[in-house]
Amino acid sequence: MPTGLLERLISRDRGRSQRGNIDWLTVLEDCLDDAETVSLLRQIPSAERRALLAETGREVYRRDLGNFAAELSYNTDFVIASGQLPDFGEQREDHAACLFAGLSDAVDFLTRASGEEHLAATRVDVQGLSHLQPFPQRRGVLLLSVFQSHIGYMAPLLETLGKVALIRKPQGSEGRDYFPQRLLEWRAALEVVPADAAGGMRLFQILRNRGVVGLYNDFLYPDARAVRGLLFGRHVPISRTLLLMIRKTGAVVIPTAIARRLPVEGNEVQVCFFPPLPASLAPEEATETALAIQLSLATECLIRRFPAQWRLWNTLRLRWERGEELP
Amino acid sequence: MKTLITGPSCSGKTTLGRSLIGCRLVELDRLDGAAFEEGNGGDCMLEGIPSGSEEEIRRLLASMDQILWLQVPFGMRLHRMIERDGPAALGRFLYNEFAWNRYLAPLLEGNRKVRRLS
Repeated sequence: MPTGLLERLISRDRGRSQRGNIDWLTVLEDCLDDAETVSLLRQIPSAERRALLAETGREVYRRDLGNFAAELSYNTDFVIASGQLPDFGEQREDHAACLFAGLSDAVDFLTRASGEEHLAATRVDVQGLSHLQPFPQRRGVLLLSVFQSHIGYMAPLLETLGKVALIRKPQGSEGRDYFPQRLLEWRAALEVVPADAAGGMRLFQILRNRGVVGLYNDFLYPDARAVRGLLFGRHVPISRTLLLMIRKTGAVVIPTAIARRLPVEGNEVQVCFFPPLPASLAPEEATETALAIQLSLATECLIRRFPAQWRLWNTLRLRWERGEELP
Repeated sequence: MKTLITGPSCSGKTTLGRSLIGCRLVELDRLDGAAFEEGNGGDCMLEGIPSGSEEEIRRLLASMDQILWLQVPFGMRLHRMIERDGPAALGRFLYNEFAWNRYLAPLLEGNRKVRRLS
């Protein structure tokens, strides 16, 4: 086989599963780890970059590139047909636009200078701050969120709270204390805790010392200890450590959303703090089941408020399958 | 007659060039993106717009007898790029798209030698 032809065949299969699926979430994430791609994307002005990426997302959806639309349909048809989100069918294209445009925001927040420049050009509307204000320095605070828009939009606010801890599993050869390159310039505001037993202990310590922890409850590492929660009417795994942490430290759980106002090409972002979970206000009285249900409901509400912006729609069925496997 | 075939990434420049010039792919690759040299003369098929200063590009455009501007919808070109280079090439494709729209397309607008092909 001529070398050129072989190279073409290899390149056609790059990044695809056997069924021809492209895991676009991973492709977009990998772009941030590729120095050449980052360098090229940074040469495009932010607003134009976001518009280009949004249009790319729409075309990926319309043309079902890498089976994106088919996978989205597979993951969301039940939610639409069962009447839980009857209008989501019309928002799928917006979802694709938001998913891809998110890469532009991540590029903007790669350095502090470009992040601040981007923030200066963005209108960040903070809502519900009164739900958060009574707690910092008085109790541990757990900001419960889902994968929507970039956490950088909350950075100025986070800096007023002291360091906010986030959990991240070290990748490949990274050590436990590895601080991701892409978050390096936000080190003054963030602490990155490894997703393991020692990391869990560190989170306990932070919350007991009335610090702030940010957690995504729409994703759980496969090896994490899990109990059954609910999402759109079916079981999904949620972190057992998270439930323990809330009960043992008395941390208050504040659902938090970071979402762009649509269309995604615009320059407005909402940061919303919602009322604390009732069970977390009196954690000593809350059962594990009550907490699990309230965490599940809060997570689903965060998704329902901004469904087009939830980045993990294409993992929903996988999460349901994992939820069913739990004892 | 000197003809320049140009257009954004994955608009089919090579494919059109190959069918027009009737040469094998390897021969076309030699021309693809090559800087135009004065005095080549004769019937000449060039592809792409070489990188360089705006002044160089203007000179190149001025020296052509006709310019074929391939206009293929963004989504179709995106599809071709993914099929040809894989999704990891997305960053370069988007950069080329931006550079084409920002710097190159304006140089072709209003040029009487340009024939738009879609």
